[in-house]
Amino acid sequence: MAYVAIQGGQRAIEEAARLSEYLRTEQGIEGRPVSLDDIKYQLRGLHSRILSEGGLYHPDLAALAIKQSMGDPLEASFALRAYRSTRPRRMETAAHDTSRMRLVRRISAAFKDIPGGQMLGATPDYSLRLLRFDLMDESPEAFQEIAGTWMENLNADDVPDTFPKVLDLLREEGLLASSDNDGSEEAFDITRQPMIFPVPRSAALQSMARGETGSLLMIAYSNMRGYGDVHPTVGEVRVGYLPVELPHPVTGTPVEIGEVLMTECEVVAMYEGGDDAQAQPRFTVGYGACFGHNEVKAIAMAILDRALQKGMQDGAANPSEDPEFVLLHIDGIDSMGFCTHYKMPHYVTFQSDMDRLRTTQSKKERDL
Amino acid sequence: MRKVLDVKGLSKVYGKGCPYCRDATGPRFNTNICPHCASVVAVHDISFTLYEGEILGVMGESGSGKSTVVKCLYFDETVDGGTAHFFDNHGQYNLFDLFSLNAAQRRWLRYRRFGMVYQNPHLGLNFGISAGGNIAERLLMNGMLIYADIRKRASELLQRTEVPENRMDDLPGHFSGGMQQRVQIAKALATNPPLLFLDEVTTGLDVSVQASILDLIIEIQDQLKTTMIVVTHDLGVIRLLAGRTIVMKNGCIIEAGLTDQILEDPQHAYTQRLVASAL
Amino acid sequence: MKNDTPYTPSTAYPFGFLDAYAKREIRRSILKAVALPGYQVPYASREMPMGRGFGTGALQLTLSVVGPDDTLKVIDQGSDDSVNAVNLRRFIRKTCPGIQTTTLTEAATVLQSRHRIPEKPLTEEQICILQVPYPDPLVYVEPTEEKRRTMHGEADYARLWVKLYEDMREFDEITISHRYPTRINGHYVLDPSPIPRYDVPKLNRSRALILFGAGREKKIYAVPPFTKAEPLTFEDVPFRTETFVDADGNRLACRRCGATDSFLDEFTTDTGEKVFQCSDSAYCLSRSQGPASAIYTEARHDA
Repeated sequence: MAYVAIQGGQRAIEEAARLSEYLRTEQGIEGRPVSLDDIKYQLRGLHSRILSEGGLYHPDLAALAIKQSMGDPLEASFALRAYRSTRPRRMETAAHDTSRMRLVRRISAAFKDIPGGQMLGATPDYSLRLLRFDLMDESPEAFQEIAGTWMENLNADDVPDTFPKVLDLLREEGLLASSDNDGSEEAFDITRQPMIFPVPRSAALQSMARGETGSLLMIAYSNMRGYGDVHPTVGEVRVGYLPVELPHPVTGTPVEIGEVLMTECEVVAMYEGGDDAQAQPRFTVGYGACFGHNEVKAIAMAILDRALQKGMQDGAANPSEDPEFVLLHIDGIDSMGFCTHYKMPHYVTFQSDMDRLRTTQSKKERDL
Repeated sequence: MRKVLDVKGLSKVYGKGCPYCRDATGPRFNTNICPHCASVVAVHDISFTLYEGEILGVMGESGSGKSTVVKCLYFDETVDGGTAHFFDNHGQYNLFDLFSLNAAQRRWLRYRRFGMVYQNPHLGLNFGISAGGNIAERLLMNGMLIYADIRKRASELLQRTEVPENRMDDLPGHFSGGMQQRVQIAKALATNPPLLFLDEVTTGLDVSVQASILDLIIEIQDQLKTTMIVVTHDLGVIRLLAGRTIVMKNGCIIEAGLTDQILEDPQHAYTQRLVASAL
Repeated sequence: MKNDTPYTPSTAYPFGFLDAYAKREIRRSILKAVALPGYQVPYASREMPMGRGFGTGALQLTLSVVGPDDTLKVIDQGSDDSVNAVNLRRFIRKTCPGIQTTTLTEAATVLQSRHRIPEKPLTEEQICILQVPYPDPLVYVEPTEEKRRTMHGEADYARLWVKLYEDMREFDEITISHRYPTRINGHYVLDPSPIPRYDVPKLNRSRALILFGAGREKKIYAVPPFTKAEPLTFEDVPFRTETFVDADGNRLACRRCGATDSFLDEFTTDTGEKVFQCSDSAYCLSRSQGPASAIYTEARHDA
């Protein structure tokens, strides 16, 4: 008697993996393996997203994750995050000052002009989203030509490395509260401590910093559209390379060990009264930051930061202000994992459900 | 007569508060709002005693603080000063002392020794479960775990409050306002609490409905000898239900005594105005 | 910014994949969970190479508990050969070199399972680790975790009871099928994971330690051995397990081994015939072909 659906599970998994590998290499002799550099350079948007959602700044491995998952952002972030789990914690950095970022882009919507100027950098914001058919058959020569002549006649000295923070202007005028945070307070660590609500702001920011972009965007959008009243103005968006410093193991002096590409957004929101009747009202601030160049994510995060602060102070008036609602549903690894698990066998629980319904139906039938 | 409740110096302030709050607000100043710190002194220095089986009326207009008093006693709100002792054959409880009563004990008192009926049925009923389910919740909290007994007791309570038996399994949203109040009363009585708070329970209802609910309350008091505090701005309700009354204005008691005496011969100018303006 | 030095990542993982710090936290959480039967202990759950929802919580427990001398059995829906079980077993073998694996229930020292407790009663020598999607039974009536924590602390399960009452008045039956809320040691009510009602009685005064791991929800809890585990029900409404009876009311038997005392899988064959067989594949094979048949080597399948 054949054992239906009993054996063969192992084989099925192996065959599925082989089939996926086939799909990845389906081009055969007409194709060539995509290199990690191809991904890092020509798929920057996807690459930055994976760096940010994987929660591990490793450009090569982020590219590898993208390659092995054939560009699936949820799978790629998952692979990078799982790898992160295996890494031991050797040292911790002190808080870093993002005004030291070596900038590649920096804009503000709050003022027409700002000290240092509005530096657009490389952005698609003002481009026309017309399909570029000339790229369909791009030749290697045309490709190499662009980068080949780009650096000619460029004077790198003309461009300053960094610019002052726009929000500091508002602080000087007293429109924004000065920060009493000197960076000495210990931050929560979501990878080492369980989140038990209510959680501090640092836990919220960490969760969002590696949160899934679509999830963050969706909840922030709800706030923008009326399920909330942050009414944000982008004080500053800056993208650049932040030097990372570690204390020297012997002398303790900070030593630069490298830099990370990151995006930072500070949003100015509705003003609030002070703690007592005497204090002046001031603008409130929302902060967003993440690895890689991810502006939509950073802006959404800043809006949610402000919404959550409000929610933690006054009670949540809508989902975007509710810390449990936001923070427990934005992690892409958690959410996609659980969504995916519904494809797993659930026939025992279903058997149990059928038993309940059959019992209830038979009872009703007796009554009718 | 046995004492049930002894309240002394109950105070509640919304806002930061400052040293001048108490002396700068009240009926003399015609305001609850402190001019120095903008805090609202909802109630200040409320004291009264309640004896077994009696109905105490708490009368005042909006903003007088009358609802706040019962909310504090029912643990819906925290207090900023004062004491309240509740006497029961189970023991004596210092209600506002956080060191002698923890959250679980307060909850126990709230669900087994007190009953509360709100003006707004949404505060007293869970609109997501049936009328019977609302009563069952109280019984379940009280340790009644036999389904047949729960059904029987819920049915009895609804009968007593004149809710038709065939509506026991309906959701509260399907009932009229008057019926919702009856369900609330049934729920509040579920565990035979010795102390019942009624906060503006007939306000907003049709006059005939009001009358029938007031009749019900008198009947319950007569049969069960439940001690009650009835909060209202309506003189008619006070006259009908309360043996003794306290009159509140801007958070303070301005007059207290036998209801008949207060209504016949009010002493404070404000009480006189209230009595005179009653339709 | 070209990378001149070729990158050679280290592929060596510690025994049990997780680093020592993670294991220590998990073990401490287990001890706390055993000391507070039924209490959900929060822990900083690590991401694993399989998805959240695929058993990462139970996996972290298993990896923290097994040593090289242990014998492991992994099942899903009662079967050793189910895809999820196969995957997990492969991973644990790979990261815990030296451990034995088995399909024979009585030979295992550690059992990781999804949605079933084996038919053969477990012993004091064994630890059963269950995979949990929802650790908290109160999630039926309260979505906010902060409020649920207070409710558990005060053993305030009234709203859960009311849900049972509402089921009774509408259907004359409690409709919860799997994940049946169960009170442990007279205080905490837990969600026993999506095991069917059939398996809930196995928790009561079990001789084995039963651990529960929720990876995504980041909670660990336990039913210690010889502890009371009572499914919530009214005193006059008996707790009933799934019945497997035919139209005449006779108990159905497994078509392979003839057992009338096991949980049965029901399905329709290609010829349209409805058939029933034991969900617990090892139990079934043991009965129909003898215990030795229930062990099969996986050497050729190892990566």
